[in-house]
Amino acid sequence: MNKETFLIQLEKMLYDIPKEERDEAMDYYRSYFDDAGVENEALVIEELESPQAIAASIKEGLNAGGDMSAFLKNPPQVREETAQSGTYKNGKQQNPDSSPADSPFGSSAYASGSYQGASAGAGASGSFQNGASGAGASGSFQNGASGAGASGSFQNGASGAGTSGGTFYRRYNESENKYHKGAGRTMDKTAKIILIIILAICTLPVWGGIFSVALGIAGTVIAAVLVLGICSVVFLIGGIICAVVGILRLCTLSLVYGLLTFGTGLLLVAGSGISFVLLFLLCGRLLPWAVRTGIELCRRLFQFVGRSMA
Amino acid sequence: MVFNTGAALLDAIVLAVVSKDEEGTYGYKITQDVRRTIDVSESTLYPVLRRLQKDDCLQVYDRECGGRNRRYYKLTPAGAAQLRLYSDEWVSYSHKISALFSGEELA
Repeated sequence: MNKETFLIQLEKMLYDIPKEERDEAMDYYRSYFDDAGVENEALVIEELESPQAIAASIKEGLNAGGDMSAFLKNPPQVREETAQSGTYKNGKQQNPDSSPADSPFGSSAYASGSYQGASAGAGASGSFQNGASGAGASGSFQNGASGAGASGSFQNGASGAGTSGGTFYRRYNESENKYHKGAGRTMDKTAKIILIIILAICTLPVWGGIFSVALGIAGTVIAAVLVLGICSVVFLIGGIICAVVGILRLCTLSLVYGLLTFGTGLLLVAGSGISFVLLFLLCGRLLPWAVRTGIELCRRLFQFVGRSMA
Repeated sequence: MVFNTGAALLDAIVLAVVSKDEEGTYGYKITQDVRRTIDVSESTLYPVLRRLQKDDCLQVYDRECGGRNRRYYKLTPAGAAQLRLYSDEWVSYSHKISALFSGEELA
């Protein structure tokens, strides 16, 4: 495998992620090869394992990125509890000596502030209101030892306040991003649904045409099956009768007629055999293939529609 | 390496590696630098860079290099803050574990 086949295979493997992500990843790996240089190409390919492995890790990364909601559930709860349990005031008094906590957490409050502005009335903003008074919250982590059970992972002794502030900061950023994206996506989705409906209506004649053609093909196939079936049965019966009659004629010493009838009988049996084989091929091979292809086509279509909606 | 490198530690290492270059650095070099410290498969680094970029810890820009555009990664202020927090946290974490191993009493 060389660089080009590697990249082509990778691109194929990434067909089901958003185009933006795919282009980004392809750019990255193309540059990666270029930066490594032609002389290291084989080594790089070995290090990169396989296009499959890369594609899997990219997809995993995307899924993990989109699945932060579970991760996000804790901080607001923790905050709410500390705010309710009244450690807020204690925290504030103690805060001056936890100055390292101020900068990251201060900016966190800032970030959540802009979050509130951006999506006022999104429901979740209640817990963020508590969050906006960030200094209090971070202070309370110093009393954290006695704090609510939920905040367990944030009690880290001396440097605890600073760190947990930072973790919050990071998570808020994520939550902010997520909410922004969420809003954009619902908008996008509605627009896309409308677009698809309009498209479907506009292309109705085309769909009608396609449907008629499909119906026509189906009719032809059914007719062919019927004709072949009837042929094979009738030929078989006719052939056997002719052959029997031919043998009887031979027995009555009418040689020419006997042979002729017998031969016709054999030909008819052969015809029946051919019809039967054709019927078998049609039903056994062509039909399953057609059904499979049809289903696959529909699946792809739905997948495509589904993906463009997502 | 006997110990696993968790997602947070990997983030921290990547941020630290990127922070070494004021001007920013690019994918291949980041990979080489990270691998000088920990043994990690290349396929794990791109998703990390992409996530850090989405989390606003890294910013990217393209710069012309040898007739093509090369994408550079650079720490944002948020990324720098995040790196500080990670490294503080690491000091406390590693100190505690070292103390435990050496049989020292924790203060």
